[in-house]
Amino acid sequence: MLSIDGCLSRLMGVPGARSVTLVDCATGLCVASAGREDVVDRHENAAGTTEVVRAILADPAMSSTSTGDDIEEIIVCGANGYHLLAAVGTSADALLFLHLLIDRTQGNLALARHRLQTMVQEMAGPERAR
Amino acid sequence: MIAALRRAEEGRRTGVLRAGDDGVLHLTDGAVTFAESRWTPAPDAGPPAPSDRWPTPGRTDGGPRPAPTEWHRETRLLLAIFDAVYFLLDSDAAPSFTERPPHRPAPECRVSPTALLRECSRRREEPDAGWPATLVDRVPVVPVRTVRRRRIVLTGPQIEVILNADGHRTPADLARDLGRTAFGCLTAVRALTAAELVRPPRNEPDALPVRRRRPPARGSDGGEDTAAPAPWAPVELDVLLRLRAGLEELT
Repeated sequence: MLSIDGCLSRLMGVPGARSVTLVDCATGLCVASAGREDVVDRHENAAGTTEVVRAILADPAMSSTSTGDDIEEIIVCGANGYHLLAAVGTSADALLFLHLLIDRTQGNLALARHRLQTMVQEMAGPERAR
Repeated sequence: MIAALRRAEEGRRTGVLRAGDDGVLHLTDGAVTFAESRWTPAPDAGPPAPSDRWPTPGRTDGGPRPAPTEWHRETRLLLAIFDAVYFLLDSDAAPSFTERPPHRPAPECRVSPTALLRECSRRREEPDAGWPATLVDRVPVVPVRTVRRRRIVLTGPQIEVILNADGHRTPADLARDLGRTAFGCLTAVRALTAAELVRPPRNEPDALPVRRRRPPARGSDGGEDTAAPAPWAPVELDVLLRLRAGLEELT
């Protein structure tokens, strides 16, 4: 069976992965994290991630359809790395996001997105797997 | 409560920390492994029954839902612990610690009180939009009749709350019925209040002044102490100050 630590350590196996955090955006809680913790600690990280996700979810300009769109993934590109924020299936009782930080030179955005989406589908369980 | 939790952590104690009838924390070697409070849904309550839910596309048969996976259970338990402790810290019941064998031989998750208290103080810093945590089970969520704004975008949890708010249920009731955390529902209610979709709690005879919950920061609101009812004794504020000093040392 898939445990939280199992999910996180598999995501840390993505080439260039620096850190990964599971964040509950309903409360801003860092559910679990793995990887380095130098710039911000994981709780600040989770609180900041929550702010970003909330702002994007609540912003009509960030929707590609007139009726509103479901946000699956948010990508922030820095000069030295990519932040990938992916929504985890809503069948759990929380608004959960995975926050994966990828090094820009050692990582590959497309590969990281692919691995992240695979993990998200696996976490959502057989019910929602495609 | 905070002091009792700190002592249990320092002594790496195993047992039950009880806050009167308000709730209990189970500790193993100074780490919290299970928590329950009267304000928050039980950790194993889980999401609502399948019949309450919109059928998943392609699965209209309403067949049995797959058993929650390990990470689901871990996440649910962890969220429930933080949720319960956040409200238990405001309990005015005297905490009592009883040594007991571990609640579960192999706990699914262990949370250090330091992390718990730190997260709780972060949660306290969030703007409360007139909804302090003490109102979570006291004031019903009343949707407004007319909306002034032309367009409002809401997140999933906010929509759940506004769809289910009936003018009678409090945020804590909604959390229980929706299978969400009480703090998550409270956050949604605060956002809905800020968006003018829910009436701000006003003129509630039971409601404590909002500022009572904050540590007495700059001495500006010291005058309120005398007017307030007994539960919020100065010793509580003392403890909060010590907590803050402790947190500052950690950073």
